[in-house]
Amino acid sequence: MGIKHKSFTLIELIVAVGVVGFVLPSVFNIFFTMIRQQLILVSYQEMKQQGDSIERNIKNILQTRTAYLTDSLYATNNPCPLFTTPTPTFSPEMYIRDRNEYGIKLYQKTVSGVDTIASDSADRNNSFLKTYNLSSKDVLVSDFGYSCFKVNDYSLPFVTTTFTMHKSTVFTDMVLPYSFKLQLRNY
Amino acid sequence: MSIKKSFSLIEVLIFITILSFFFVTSAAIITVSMHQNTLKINMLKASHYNEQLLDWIKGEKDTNWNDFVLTTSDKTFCFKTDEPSWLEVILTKDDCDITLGGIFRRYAVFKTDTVPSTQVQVTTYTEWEDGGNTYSTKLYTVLNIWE
Repeated sequence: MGIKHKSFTLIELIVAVGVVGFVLPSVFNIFFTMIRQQLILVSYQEMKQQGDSIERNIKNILQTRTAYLTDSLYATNNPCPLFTTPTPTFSPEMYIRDRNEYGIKLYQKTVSGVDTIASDSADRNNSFLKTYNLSSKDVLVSDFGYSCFKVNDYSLPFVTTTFTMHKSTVFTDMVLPYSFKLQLRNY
Repeated sequence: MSIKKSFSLIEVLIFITILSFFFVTSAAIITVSMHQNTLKINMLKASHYNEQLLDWIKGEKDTNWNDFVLTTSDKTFCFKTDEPSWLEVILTKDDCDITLGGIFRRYAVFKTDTVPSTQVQVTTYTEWEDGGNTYSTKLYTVLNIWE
């Protein structure tokens, strides 16, 4: 008689594979759900961080550097109507002059396929100086616009600025809207 | 008579008990961890809604102080949408529907101390419910007239 080998029977193998086939997908499902949640949380934190940074930058420009707004780079027309006129419309480009007549333009721009808010600066002769982006390419910025109004002919204008932060992952699209209103300061 | 090595019933029972402790603990940890992640995401959204509301209120205050005091004088307002407005005055927070972002309730309580008023105390709340509990973020500030 030959040597007897200790081994598993077919039924035992089928049962074992069945149990593993039931447990493993559940474990992986839980594992990937946790990773997905972490990814969403990190994405929101990044959007919030960049959105807050953009908001601070724009507020800083408006409150410390802005002497007046214009409706284009080469014009000096004041784009801010009196409050009693119909609700001002949002303009996608903000033109600013500081007290030294240097120009700043804030607008939405696409850099390497990613939308961001860019700030262009120019000297008093409207010669371009430099540009820098207010956000990184990890998050998208959309719907940038501003509107302004004055409560009377002699008051400083109130500027409302809006933009929306976007981030898309394979799981979901996330959105954080921003909107703030402030009054320009006197120089 | 052949003797086969095997586990006794007691050994198998003890092994299963230890294994089940491990699985129950792991399941509890995973559940708590997932809940905490969801909580953090909602907390971040709620903080953002609160900050945006406070920014808007400050803008309204700067536009016209007298109108601001008259509008808000010792009232509570509910802000249901992304674009705030002074439309809805409420008596209690339960009168404010949960519509913001699908799960949030956002409202602000205004208190005016002196007459004529030079100060308005504002407390903004963004709340949401999860698993029978109510979570809330709060911002408090005092707004003054500039002039």
